[in-house]
Amino acid sequence: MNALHLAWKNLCHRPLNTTFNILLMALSGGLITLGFLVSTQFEDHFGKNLGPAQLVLSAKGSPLQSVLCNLFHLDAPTGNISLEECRPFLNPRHPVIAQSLPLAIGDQAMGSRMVGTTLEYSSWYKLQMAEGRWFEGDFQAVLGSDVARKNKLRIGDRFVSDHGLAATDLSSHQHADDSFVVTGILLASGTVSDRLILVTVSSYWALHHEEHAADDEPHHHGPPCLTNEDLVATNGKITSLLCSFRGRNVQSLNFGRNVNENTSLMATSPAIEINRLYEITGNAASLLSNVAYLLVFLALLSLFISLWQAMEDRRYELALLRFAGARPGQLLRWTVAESALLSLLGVLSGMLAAHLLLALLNPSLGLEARYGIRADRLFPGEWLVPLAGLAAGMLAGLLPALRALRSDIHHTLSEG
Amino acid sequence: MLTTSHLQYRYPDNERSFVFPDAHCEAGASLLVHGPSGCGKTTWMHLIAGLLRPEKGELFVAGTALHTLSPKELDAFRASTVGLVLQKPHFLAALTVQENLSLFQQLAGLRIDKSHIAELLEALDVVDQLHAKPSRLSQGQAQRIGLARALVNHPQLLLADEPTSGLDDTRTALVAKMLLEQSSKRGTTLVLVSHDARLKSFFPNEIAFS
Repeated sequence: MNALHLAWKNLCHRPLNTTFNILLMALSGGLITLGFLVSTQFEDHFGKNLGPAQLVLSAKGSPLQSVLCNLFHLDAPTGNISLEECRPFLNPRHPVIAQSLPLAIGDQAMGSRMVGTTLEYSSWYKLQMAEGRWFEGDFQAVLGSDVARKNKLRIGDRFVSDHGLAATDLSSHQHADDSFVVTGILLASGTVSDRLILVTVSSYWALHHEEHAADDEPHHHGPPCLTNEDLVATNGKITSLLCSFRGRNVQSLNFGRNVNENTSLMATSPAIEINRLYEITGNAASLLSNVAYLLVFLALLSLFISLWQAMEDRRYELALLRFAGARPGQLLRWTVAESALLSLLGVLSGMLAAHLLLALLNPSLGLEARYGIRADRLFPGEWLVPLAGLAAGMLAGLLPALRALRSDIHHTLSEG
Repeated sequence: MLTTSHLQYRYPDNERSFVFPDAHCEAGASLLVHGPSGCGKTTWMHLIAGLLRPEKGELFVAGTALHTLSPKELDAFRASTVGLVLQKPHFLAALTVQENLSLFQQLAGLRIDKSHIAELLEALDVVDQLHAKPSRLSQGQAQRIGLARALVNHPQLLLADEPTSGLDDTRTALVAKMLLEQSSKRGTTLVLVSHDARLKSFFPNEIAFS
């Protein structure tokens, strides 16, 4: 009979006590796992989807909304901006801006966002085509891998778009006249692009042509706009322009402020806005983790107390074992093995529960769709959690074990 | 088998010290150590068992000079040579009778011998309790199994500390006969320590402590 076997027997001998302690350890270990699982993937998601964008130009409104909408496709657009105003920033010879990517946002199809953009999108986000090719005209669509998989769409299939971003939007109605043909499907990149439908900006304009027929806005009637260069040559409206800088210097630092002061556009730094977002979510996360740490403390205290009590009950047993030739180190190993086993079992079941809970809640909360949070991922350093549980359990068992071993066998056996 | 001379023990707190009369017992024989409570009988027995180390004097058990051994050597000596029967036997509550006994074999560094365990329990008429948990045992069963545990490692010396206190006359006679019968059957030396005057009629050899 080895230490683990004996520890297991002792745990089974007090089933209520053991269950309670395992539950406590599981609750604290699970809460910590859940917290890290969500927060690390949340931050990872935003970091990964930042791309090369150092500045977002959009209509004036909430800067955070602009970043969430144009980089992460979470929020609604702040409004439209005219290409006329954007034209200087699309110029490849701009002194501050190295590259720029126009986006038109506002429609969806089959529950996925449809984004009007140019062929520059591919190099901007370093995307690769799984099959097919990029759009070569209007009403041709490139699907993100998730969109294609969920809707079982293949090259050459057709679909129609809805107007508006939410499927339940009362104002939404299907653009029934014009259907899109799938020309390409992207390789999965683990970014938000997996969940987008990419079309030309001019498709967007064509879709909305009829709605705007009554007003005086200029409309696009020319050839399709495939590249940034094509866009420069036309008039129309887009949602935003993502920009990267040539370098980090005073000019680039002041560029955003100049745009905000001198034009009707809003320039937003994604890095700053995301840090603000982290500050908000970080407060919630640290509250959660503080509660979790408090629970860990309580769980260990409970483990300690019940082991202390068990050692008191087993004083005579331990004295007998010492009489029968057990070395003090042997008894120490047995006792510590018991609390370590209990703690490890608790933490492991808590971790399992955290992953299961996330998997169960994910469909209704949409955590994966919106923030890329998955239940079947381990967070970096997750293997440390059971190790920490093991170490904490050993520590909680050490003191009761040492006390039990300090007691004199001769005295205990003399007591009767 | 057992020889002590000028044995003395002083408790670490310095409050009590004992000077013990010399004792001698042949291998396979039995010895009753008799005296009132608090005369140092249990202390003496723990010296013989290698649990305590004498302050002065010499102590030979089964050819081993116990007063010269280190604590680690004493642990090994106890496990292999001495069996202990207590007034109230205690077992590991989480283990069955069989597991309790085989754990004692294991601690002595012996091979786990289940047939020997079964044979011992059979001889003591408690083999039906082989897989019982200790909390299920009656007092009489527990005492028999306590004796089986003391004998499980084939000890040369069987020590019994007040095995009959609190028992009526019939029970006392049964326990005394059981101890004597099992030890003589196995060639084990039996040393019984008790304040119980009723035991005197069962033991030809006796030392009185005062």
